[in-house]
Amino acid sequence: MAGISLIINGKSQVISADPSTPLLWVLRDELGLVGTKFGCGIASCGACTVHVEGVATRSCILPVASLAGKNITTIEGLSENGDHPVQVAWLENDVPQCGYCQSGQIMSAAALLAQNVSPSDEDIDNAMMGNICRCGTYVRIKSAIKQAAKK
Amino acid sequence: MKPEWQPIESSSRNVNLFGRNIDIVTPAGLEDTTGHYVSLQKVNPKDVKVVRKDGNPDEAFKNAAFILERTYSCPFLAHSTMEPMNFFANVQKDKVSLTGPIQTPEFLEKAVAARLNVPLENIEVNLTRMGGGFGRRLYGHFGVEAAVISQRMNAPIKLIYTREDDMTCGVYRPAYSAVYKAAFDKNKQLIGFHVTAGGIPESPLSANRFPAGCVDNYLAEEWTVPSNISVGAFRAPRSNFIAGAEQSFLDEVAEYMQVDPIDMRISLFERSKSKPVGEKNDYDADRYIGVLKLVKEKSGWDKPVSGLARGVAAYFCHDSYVAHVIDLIPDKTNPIVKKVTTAVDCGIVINPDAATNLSQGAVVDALGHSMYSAVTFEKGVPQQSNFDGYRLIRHNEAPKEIEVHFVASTVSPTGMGEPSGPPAIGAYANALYKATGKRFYHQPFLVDQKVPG
Repeated sequence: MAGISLIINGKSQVISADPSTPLLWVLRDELGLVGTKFGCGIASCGACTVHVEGVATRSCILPVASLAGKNITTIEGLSENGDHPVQVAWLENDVPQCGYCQSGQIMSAAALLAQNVSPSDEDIDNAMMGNICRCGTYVRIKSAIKQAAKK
Repeated sequence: MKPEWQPIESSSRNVNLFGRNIDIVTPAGLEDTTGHYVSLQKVNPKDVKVVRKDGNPDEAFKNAAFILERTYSCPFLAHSTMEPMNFFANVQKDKVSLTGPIQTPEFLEKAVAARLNVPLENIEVNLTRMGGGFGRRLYGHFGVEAAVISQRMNAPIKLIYTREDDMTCGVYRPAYSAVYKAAFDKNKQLIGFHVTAGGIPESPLSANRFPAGCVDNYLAEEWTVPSNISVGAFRAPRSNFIAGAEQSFLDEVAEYMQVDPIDMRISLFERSKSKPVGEKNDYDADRYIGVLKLVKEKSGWDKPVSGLARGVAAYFCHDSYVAHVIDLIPDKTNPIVKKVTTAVDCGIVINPDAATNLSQGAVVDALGHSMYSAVTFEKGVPQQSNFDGYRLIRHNEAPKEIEVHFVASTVSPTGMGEPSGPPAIGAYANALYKATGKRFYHQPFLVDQKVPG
């Protein structure tokens, strides 16, 4: 059986995993891209968020079979040197505590700002409510998104 | 996977818990939340122990012109760290290599040595960063499990719990309940205070904390209900319940006395300084007064904003003092937490930004659990297994602003991880009352479900 071809962080990759495998485990176990995290396995916490054609998507329930030829961006591919405006704002606001949910938070925030350059508080809540932060850094995440929006 | 477990026999063991010898009774049988509810409500008076008694509380309550009595409760909680329990293990003939996130590497090393019957010096534990913890990663059974699996498979393995395993094989925050009573004379002065608190399977009471030392006639009692539900430390153990209960009750005491709730607390502390009641009072009245005065100033307490409902609370635990004022936008169904103003005395502040972040996070953590979260049981099985059934606070539900102020201090640094959480629940419940006209006694406050107590 020929593998599925995915475009991950701009690079075409042929995947050997079973087509029903969720993207998350292909990223982590086959490609070694471990910045994307497992949190719940039912798309309820957002730790596994990546971009599929620019849209924030939960990778833990997404079979790779549905992604042939699609452009996928993970936290590793968001910027060359970790200097995407959202990442810079995250550092300037000292957002993370344990850090485990943060790549998912950053991917959701980056997708929001790509579509909406000056989101309201309500826009931010709507875009981010799928991402749980158990350490409770929500206030700083919102500040960081507003700061990144200005750039 | 649907695991089945061997029924356990009833057992009892003596353990040394941080220097305290206690007997832990583990009963047999499958427990459920309905049974827990009954046992929290119908405590046998014979099981209630007096922990502290000052003056003559019986007499004070007998002579009281008015007695205020309120009951508070909270359910079991699951830690739900975003990173599920996990560990890497490579058990070889002469070397055991373990890598993962754990707060107690020495306990893990000893537990694996005993379980695999290998010498301690052959075991190496490498620590990774922890994806949250909140107490959950004190208990290293997942590291032992990884080692046992690696030994059996004769291969290096990485164990990752599914969220369902993580949530249903937890070491839960116990369920607690407390009954508070205050006795007043005909001039509405507080003459007696009585707290009876307990839980499944431990009591949340710290009898020497405030208001001990401030009231002439004081009685603190506690009880426990043995259980085989696995429980453990959860951020600010015991304080995470009792602070909210006590601070909500004091709000009603102040309301009955028709005095400002901050002024009432300060006058109680002044009393404990000039003429303390009893001994071993476990707080520094000046530091308590310090955070209350600071939060009063920074929140603009004396200049209430129209259209906002406010609540206040203060608590001392983990060696630090914290006071909060919470401002809600009133709404019968969905009050929004507009702002939390926090005053902290944790001694010298080493890293102000990280300390502020921890305080903000502890507030969100405590508020979220008091609003939404509960684990319930049926025939011994947790009924929530993932974030669809077990609700955690999300972006849109979090406070819009949390402003943290520190008391300037030259005292040695004290706890920052826990102390901001417990009083937030009291301040929130008190603000909810102002916002809705209704008192909230049973957590989770915003979820319409029956919980123990």
